Amino acid sequence: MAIIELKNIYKKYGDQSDVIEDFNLSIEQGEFVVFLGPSGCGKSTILRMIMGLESITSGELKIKGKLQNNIPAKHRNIAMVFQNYALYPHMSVFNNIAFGLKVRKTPRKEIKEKVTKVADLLNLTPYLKRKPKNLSGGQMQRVALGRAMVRDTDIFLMDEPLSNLDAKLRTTMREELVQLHRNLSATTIFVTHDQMEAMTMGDKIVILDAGKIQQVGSPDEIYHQPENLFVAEFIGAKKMNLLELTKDERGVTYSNQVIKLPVFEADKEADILGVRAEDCRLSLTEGYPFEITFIEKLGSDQYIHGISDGEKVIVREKPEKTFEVGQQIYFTINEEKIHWFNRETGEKVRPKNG
Amino acid sequence: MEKATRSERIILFLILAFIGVFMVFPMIWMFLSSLKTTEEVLGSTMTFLPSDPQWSNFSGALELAPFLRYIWNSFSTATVIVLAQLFLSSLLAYALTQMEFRGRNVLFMIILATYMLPAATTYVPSYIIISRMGLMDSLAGVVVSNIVDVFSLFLLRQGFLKVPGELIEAARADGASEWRILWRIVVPTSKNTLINAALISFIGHFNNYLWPSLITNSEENFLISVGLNRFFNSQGAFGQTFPLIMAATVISILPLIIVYFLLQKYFIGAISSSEGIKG
Ligand SMILES: Nc1ncnc2c1ncn2[C@@H]1O[C@H](COP(=O)(O)OP(=O)(O)OP(=O)(O)O)[C@@H](O)[C@H]1O
Ligand SMILES: [Mg+2]
Repeated sequence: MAIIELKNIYKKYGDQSDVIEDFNLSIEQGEFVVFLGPSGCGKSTILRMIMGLESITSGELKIKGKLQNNIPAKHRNIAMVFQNYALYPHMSVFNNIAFGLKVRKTPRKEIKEKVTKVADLLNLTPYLKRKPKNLSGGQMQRVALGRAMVRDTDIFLMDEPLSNLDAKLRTTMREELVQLHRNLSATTIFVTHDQMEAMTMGDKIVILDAGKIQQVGSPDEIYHQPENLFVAEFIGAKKMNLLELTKDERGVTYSNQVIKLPVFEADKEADILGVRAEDCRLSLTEGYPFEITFIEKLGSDQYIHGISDGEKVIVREKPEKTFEVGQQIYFTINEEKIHWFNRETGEKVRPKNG
Repeated sequence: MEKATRSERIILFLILAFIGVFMVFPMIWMFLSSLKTTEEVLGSTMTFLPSDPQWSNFSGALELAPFLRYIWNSFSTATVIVLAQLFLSSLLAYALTQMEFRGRNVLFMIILATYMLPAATTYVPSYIIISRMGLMDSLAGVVVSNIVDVFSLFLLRQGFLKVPGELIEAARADGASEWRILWRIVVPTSKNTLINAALISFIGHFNNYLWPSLITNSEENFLISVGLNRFFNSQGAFGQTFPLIMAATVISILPLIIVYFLLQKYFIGAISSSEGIKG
């Protein structure tokens, strides 16, 4: 059974237009779900509605089968890590972590035991007596996590908890969080606008744009089977190459060469060909014309940027090959790795049986 | 601001020093006079320092009227009033800043509007209410008629507005009730605002004169301001007891001076917030 269910959720602030539109999602016990989307797409809003900090304009939110719409935050028993830590400035680290337990009238001895254990796990033991203002960003981060972890709950909501950390700390915290999730096996919703974070951490990624779900899937599915143009461009170290197709008497063409289209599902039409940089090759003799504009060497790989028939195209190549900016060559496409889209709807167009 | 040159700073310093001396001079004069003899005060040659400090003036003043009793009355009523005001204002300020309900802003505007009423217009109705409550001529009457204060509410509301919303949300997520959030999160993080409000209110009520003089009659219930005034008036030959009156006045402001030294660092905040400047 799903532990969190969102059905036809809408959210409006005042009389503005909808910030969240027809949001449907169900989350299973123990899942690590990542909400990924550009700034302002409504990630925090959804999280805050689940927590009970924001009213739900319409739709149903169920947790463990029970309708939550009108249940105040304090009775939902969910732990949340806030975007800016929100540590209580006048309390020591110990008391920050202990607050949620004190509120629930936990016996003093038990509080001590639990806080000590969590502090130990997060390497916070030396700082228990300090006030938040005397901690580094990473330490504050861990206190915010500790405050959530110490609670006796099986649902965690985390709103960009790693966004204020430097790159190195972020990577280690990422690993620690995944490890932690394995140990606690609690259901976690993790919000981020960093796709690396989403891809490395999530069991399930929910991609949002402008208050709407664009796609829900595993990191592999999201990367290899994008459902629409937004996801295709948003996910990946390099955005997917999108080639605009034209129609003439010979059929569908790109750069004056006929493209063989598969048979699509019921009367759908594809006019955009999508292909990732790693599914293209450069060639001196055959393919579509390609003029190199920029070479990006990454050690293990190199990305060759170029212009083909007026469109920007990126091709990944082995590092040994040498190219030069300005060179006029060709690129080829691995036909098995093509994604077809319809410009008008922005949706993927599926070939029949496959 | 541009940096002042050295000579500009010296001039500025001299001006400020002059104003400073000018302002504290009456206090110093009061203190020195309290140590003089009547002849010295009234004599035709004015002396600055008392030739032979009359410390006995203090014990003399204390014998003429129960000043310690008055001070205690002022101190205790001001303390109870401040505590009650802060308690009630905190509750209301919390509701006005952290809870969402219809008419919230209208309510605040109405409350603020009552602040515009001149205090004198409230005296008659308040007098009637206090007397109906059977609290005339009692310290309880002084306290009860002052426990609600729009100004402290206003200050606390400003302070509470500055508490980051995420803190309150975090406490709600932690499972805390609104009551607990108010006392455990909002009040401690607004500590300075509360101390400022408390100081302003304490000084005001310690020195309060007109209203307490209207509702208290018996000597045992006089506040220091009222008692001091009766003392002036009862000493018919004013000149004769001038040093004693000065001694009594020194005694009466002593508690405020002690409070000032203990809480010095909060005073600037209190003064600037009482003048409506960002505190
Ligand atoms: N209290 C509010 N009143 C009015 N509009 C709001 C309010 N809170 C958020 N919004 C609007 O709702 C939309 C979604 O905001 P939200 O905070 O959920 O975005 P987000 O995806 O979390 O962005 P970020 O990555 O920057 O944190 C934004 O357009 C924002 O301006
Ligand atoms: Mg956000």
